[in-house]
Amino acid sequence: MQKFENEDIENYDTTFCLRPSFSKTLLVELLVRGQSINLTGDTGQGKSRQLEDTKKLCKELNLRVALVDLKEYRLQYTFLLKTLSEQLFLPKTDFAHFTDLLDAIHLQKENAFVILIDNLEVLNDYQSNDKRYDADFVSSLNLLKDKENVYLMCASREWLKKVVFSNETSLLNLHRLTISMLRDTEVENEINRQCPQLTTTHRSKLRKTVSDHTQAYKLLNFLLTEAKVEYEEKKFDKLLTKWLKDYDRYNS
Amino acid sequence: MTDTTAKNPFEYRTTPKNNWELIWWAVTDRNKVREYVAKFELTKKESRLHFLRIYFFYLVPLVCASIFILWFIYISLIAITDLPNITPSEWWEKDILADWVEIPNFLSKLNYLFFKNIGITFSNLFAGLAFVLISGLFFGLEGLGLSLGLSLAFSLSSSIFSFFIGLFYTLALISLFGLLESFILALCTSLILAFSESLFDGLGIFLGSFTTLIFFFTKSHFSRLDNNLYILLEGINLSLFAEKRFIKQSQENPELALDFVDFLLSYRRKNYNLAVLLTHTATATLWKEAALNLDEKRLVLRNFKVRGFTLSETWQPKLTEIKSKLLTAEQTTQISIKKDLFIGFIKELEDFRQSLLIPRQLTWRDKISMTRRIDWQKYYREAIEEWIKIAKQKLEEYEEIAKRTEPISRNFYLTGDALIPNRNDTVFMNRTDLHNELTLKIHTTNSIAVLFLQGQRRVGKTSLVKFLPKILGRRFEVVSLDLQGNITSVEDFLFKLRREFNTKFSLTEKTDWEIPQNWATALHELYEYIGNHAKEKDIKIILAIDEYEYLQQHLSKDLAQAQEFLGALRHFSQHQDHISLMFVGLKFFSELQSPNWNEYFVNAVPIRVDYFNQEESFKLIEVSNLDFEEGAKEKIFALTQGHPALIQKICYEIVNIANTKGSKNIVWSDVEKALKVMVYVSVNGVTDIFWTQTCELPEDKEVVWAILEKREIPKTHRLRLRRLIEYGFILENEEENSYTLRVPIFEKWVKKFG
Repeated sequence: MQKFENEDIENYDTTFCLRPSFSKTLLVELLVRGQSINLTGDTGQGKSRQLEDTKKLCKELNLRVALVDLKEYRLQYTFLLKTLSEQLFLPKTDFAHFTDLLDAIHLQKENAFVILIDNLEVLNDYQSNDKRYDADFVSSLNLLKDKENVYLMCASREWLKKVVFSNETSLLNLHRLTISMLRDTEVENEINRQCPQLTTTHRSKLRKTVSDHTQAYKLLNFLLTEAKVEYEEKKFDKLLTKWLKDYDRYNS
Repeated sequence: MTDTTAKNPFEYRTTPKNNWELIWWAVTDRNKVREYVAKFELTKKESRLHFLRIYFFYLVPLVCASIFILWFIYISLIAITDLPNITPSEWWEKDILADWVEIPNFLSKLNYLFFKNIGITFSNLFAGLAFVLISGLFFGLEGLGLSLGLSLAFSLSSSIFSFFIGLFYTLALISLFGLLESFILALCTSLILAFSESLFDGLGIFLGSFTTLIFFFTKSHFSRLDNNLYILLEGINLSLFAEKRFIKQSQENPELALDFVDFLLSYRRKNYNLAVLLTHTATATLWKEAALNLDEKRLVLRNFKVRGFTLSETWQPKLTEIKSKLLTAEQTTQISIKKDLFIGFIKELEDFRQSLLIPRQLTWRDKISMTRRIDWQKYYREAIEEWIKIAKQKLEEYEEIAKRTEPISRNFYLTGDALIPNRNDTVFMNRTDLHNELTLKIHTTNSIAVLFLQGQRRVGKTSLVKFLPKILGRRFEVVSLDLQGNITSVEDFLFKLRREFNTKFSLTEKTDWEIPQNWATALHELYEYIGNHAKEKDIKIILAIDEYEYLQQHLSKDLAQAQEFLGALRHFSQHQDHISLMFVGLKFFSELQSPNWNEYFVNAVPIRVDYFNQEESFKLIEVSNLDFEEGAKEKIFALTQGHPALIQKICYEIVNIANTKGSKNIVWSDVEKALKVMVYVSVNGVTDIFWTQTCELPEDKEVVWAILEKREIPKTHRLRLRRLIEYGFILENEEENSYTLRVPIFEKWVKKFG
């Protein structure tokens, strides 16, 4: 299996990532130090984007990567297993239990797998989840993280040390890594990537609007999506006010 | 696309396209006329001849035509509206009123007004034109005569064109004297006319002037940096109340603002204050923009010795120091030094910001000035605050890099995962006592077939299992299976155990093992299979079952089969020399009921996986290769009592701290910081597990509180107390009949978060 060193990670090109420096930190924790990670941060900070960026980075490192949003699969346990196995290019894709999937991964010792799970808190948040998301599922996650050929990262709002099911509590031992605050240079780069036509002043206004907000990335993404369609230099102030109102309306 | 051929709004042409433009300049910007004339170095005679040409060919036709048109509109309006009949009679001369009554229709009225008034109108007009001719000949082309002549030509042309005259009059006055004076003069003129001539004339002039001024203010409200009255008119020396608008635009387009400033400084001496105000605004905005990339080259000051706008003498040296600190920091490659230098740079910025907080002392003249009253320093303050914000973000990034690139110490510690051979060997402590006990028991006792590795959670049992092959050496082969979340039934357990064995020895079975439905039979087959291979190879195989408690939940589904299965397991383990079973877990056999494990494995050899001793703890701490303050390691050991996970967590953060601060020297305050971050938090993965999982019943918590508060433990809780003692969380002092929590960190945590 490929062994990673700090220097290698430092030399990787992470400029396409929303948080280039944090992405490297994350890779060092995950691949060099071998820590299974619980990426934490409030809603709207860009955890999902970080997972997507990590997925791209890991793919470039020729690792087999799977990224799943647990929210999408909370009612369809087997569909989660299918998606995971497809993304990991496992020879078999139909599994009845997570343990079977673990088995399949376990048998491919020559390959390294990166498993990225978004919205892990779903396990705690909904009573209506597929009943197979139970204590055994959490135990399997724990087992998964201890496997030599698996790098596991989960994202949740808060550090998820325990998952409480109806009759029992299950523990997760993941290394907590809090997502870094979105820096102005990172916001600026994202604006340049998505909306290069914005003037310096308007980029600056957008940066300020975003950096003062509790859901910085979510807002930034919304504003840039709007700007891509509606941006007009002379009407920017009015448009920005409108977009912010729309954002509040959509999120209220 | 940018229009590269766009006209420069600040272009200052001093050569008119034609003489019409020259006349326009005379009204709006006499300086241009002066410069134009100066270029030709005309003699007095040439200047006057040139004037005469302009006068007769341009000025006279223009004035006559425009006055006639305006006048005609004026009398038409009077005729249409029948004004003398609908306004007070005092406004009109008596003979006009008398005639007016007799006139039957509009055309007749217009005809009457035309002939009644044309004489006086054109006599006034010609008087005005004569005055222009005289003054023009006197002053030549240098603008003053011309513009003065123009204004008088309009104003004297006719009193009856008061309103329109008022417009032009005020415009002309502005070109001559400036906005403030024009307004005052227009007001005075209208009053004089009102009293000396007629109220109508006075009102006309006043309304005309007022309309002009309204136009000016309205225009100023919509002023743009590149299109405003300051560019159009030379004589504005009164605020147009456009400062805020200009400031806003300067912040949006500082480059344009500075072009406008250059224009004002070059050609509009009367607007010097506005120019300096906008200079400060634009410069501060450029600073703010430069903050994002910390571009120190753009931290340039533009100082003016202008009352109300002079910069403090301390600013320039401070700015130089800031730039120097930043440059030094950025040129340094070693991350820890770079970070320290960056802290120095931020401190300089903070100092500068402090100096910007000192408010300007405003005189009464500053307070009434539309430009000087503005707190322009705040724009620099905002810019520096932006620099501080970005600099702090950059510092965070450097700290992140320092932690990541590990310039001081490599961070080998893990905070959650089990240790894996060949990856985490550095932090795997080869516990000497345990190692000796394990090897001794396994090597020397042939009959020992069932081992029980028991220990608290997070104490390193799984890591130990993973490192067992290394610990035990070549004579033993370890086949391990972690049951945590890994099995779905007893059959599945057996199947996976067999598969692990096959994988370990690279065995391939021709067909998949068909597991008998009876668990005991299946176990029999498995034992036989493994035993035969072990005999063949003459090796001893240890089947290590990690988290063995998970098997219980599947066994309990069929008690009869479970009892038979455990019985068979005991039987085979006793009669199979080549296979040893090793159960690894937290719970004692006695705790697992239905089936009761204790019945079957009374002879199991228990091996306690406990905390590290002091030597092992120090060894783990020293992996960091840091220089600890004397006594620090001892204190860490005293606080953790050698708890492996706690030491790993604390050391992980200590290494981060060392890398961030760029020093190998670790003092106690660093350890305290690490404890605060990694241990004394509501959820840390060690103490909270103890509190929520180990102390699963309220009685357990009550026992712990009673110990912490030195109260008597209720007798009904004795069994629970005993359990915690056996697990190794509570120490018993038999002599004093007292109890203490073994790990001080647990005690502090429970008091804080329990």
